[in-house]
Amino acid sequence: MTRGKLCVLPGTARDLAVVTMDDREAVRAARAGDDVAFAALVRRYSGGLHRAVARILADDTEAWDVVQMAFVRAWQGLERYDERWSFSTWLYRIASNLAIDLLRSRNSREKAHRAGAEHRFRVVGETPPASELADRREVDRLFDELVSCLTPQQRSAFVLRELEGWETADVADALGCTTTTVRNHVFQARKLLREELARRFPEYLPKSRRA
Amino acid sequence: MRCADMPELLDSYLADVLDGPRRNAVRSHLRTCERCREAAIQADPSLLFVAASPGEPDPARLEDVTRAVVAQIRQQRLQRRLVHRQPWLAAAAALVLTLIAVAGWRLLAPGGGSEPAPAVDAQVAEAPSPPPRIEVDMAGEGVRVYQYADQQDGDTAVTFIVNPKLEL
Repeated sequence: MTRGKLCVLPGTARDLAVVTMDDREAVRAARAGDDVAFAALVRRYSGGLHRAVARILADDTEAWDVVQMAFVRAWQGLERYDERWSFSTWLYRIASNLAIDLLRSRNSREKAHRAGAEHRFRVVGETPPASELADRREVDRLFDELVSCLTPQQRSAFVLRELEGWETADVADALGCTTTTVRNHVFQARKLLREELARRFPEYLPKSRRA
Repeated sequence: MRCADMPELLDSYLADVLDGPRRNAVRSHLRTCERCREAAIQADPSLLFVAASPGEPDPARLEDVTRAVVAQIRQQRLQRRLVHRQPWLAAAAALVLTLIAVAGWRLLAPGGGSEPAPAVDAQVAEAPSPPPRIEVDMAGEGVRVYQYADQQDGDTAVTFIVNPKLEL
């Protein structure tokens, strides 16, 4: 290991060259022990990965832990990674599985947390018309409130397909299921979110949709 | 994309029959056009979440995660190498301990030394000697492994791994 490889922040010409590597080149370099190449992959994908995982978990802090764990798992499994597949799909698959496992393990705890969080949200939340819901954070909070009505698989499929804009086939690869299953999950997720939104937060719907 | 095309495209979007580029175009349009967003949410309230712009990640947080991940993989790599080299380390430790024991026995055995040892030296020799220490510089890694072992208890040793270059 050279001293240059111990530097995490890009700075040298070598580090900058790593930034321009495509995923496959970076993975090959990382397999050969190049930490800078792997760090480039972490920088490239951790933002999007965190956004997706945070929406699946409805928890920003836990999502960072999952992102970190997913990258370490990916590094541990680099030898098994098949270059015919997209690195990002493989990485999201690892992260989705970790997030789904976490959701399953915290079901009861989450219910208690949700009850309190809903109360706080409804007391402090304003009720602007839907067209004015441009504030992303407000929508994120609303989604976090409602997503607990979905199963872990429905959450993951909805987030990757609808919020992250992935192709159905890529979502299926990431979740390890068929495209038909993904479509079913997304369909069910939409239906449940519609119902929960109307039941719990009708003030966020257009007036014509309110009961 | 024209607003006039949106009603038809929205139906196709919800039926999941749009190709990737057109699907992304619909999503982008919903994020920028307030009127179409309102109409979309009316058609299906779950589109409220699709129409919200994704947030930008905090660069400082990304850098923190990158550092944490790299530190973890370096630690794991080091652990793997130590486990891999354990037999060699054990053999080296055994050899050094044997040499120390032989040297000590020759010095302390009657007639082992060339001259009688002074009384003060004998007292020092009877006092517990510090445990032997092994320093191994792992080739090319700049990592030092310090192993402390008690002569009386060959099964127990404490190993410290020090990598002066590692920035955690």
